[in-house]
Amino acid sequence: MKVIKRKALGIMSKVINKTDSVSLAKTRNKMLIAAKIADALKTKGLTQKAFAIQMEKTESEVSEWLSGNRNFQLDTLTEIEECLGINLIDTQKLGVPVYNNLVVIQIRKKTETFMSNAKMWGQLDNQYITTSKVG
Amino acid sequence: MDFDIIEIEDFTGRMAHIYSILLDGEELTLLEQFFDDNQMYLAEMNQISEKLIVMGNDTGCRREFFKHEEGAPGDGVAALKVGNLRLYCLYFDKTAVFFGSGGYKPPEAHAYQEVPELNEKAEQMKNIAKEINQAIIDRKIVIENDGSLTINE
Repeated sequence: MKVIKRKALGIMSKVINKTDSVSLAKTRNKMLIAAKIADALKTKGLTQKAFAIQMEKTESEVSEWLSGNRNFQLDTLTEIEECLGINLIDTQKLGVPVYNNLVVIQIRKKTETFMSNAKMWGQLDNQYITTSKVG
Repeated sequence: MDFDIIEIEDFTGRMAHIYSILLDGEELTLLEQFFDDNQMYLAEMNQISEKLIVMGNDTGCRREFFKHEEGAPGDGVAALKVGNLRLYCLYFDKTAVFFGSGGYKPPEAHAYQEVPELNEKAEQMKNIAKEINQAIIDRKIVIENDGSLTINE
């Protein structure tokens, strides 16, 4: 018995060479989200069965979530976030400024006071204010 | 059964080593034969290829990505499910998986044993797993922490 390292042959080689970058990114995200949920279950010491009960789903559905095949709906991801206390959806990329531990709330009324913040974040039609500390 | 272990460079990455089996006298590995035999399921083939790329480079072969206990008790034979296709493998850990072949499982079939072609592939994987597992026990194959293999003749 030997171990040989080589490139793929046959149809598999053609499939690999035709890999679409967007499709690959979709698959990667599905698998990374599944991995993140599985890690959260492990950290919390939750079994798939216990998680399924909390989510009011069947165990086989949770198993399918963790397989990396699932194209999650945003609402389902939000429910999982709430249940496990984790962040699966990165909403901070929207340009909403967060200053250290300060929560920023968007207001739609323009005032000179907040123009500097608005320019800093490139959101000239919206203004943001800080209101309270998290935690 | 004589065979070599082929590491597929296109799939292996920093997170996992992806292997397949080259039977004596064959040109293509079992994984490559699986792609040849199931090329009519192009969407599923694309997905399987992408999943193996992601496992190799991003996530590793995480246990929950596979359906386990598809072989004899404790032999590590598992299946990767994509649509109605089943791809059998010997699951070692998240750093190393040995892929065999597989096929189409009709929705009405409850178990692969009901589908002769699929059962044949699963049995083939079980036989290969038996030999690899014995070689690991005998220290003829050593799987390092990163999933790379050392063969001791």
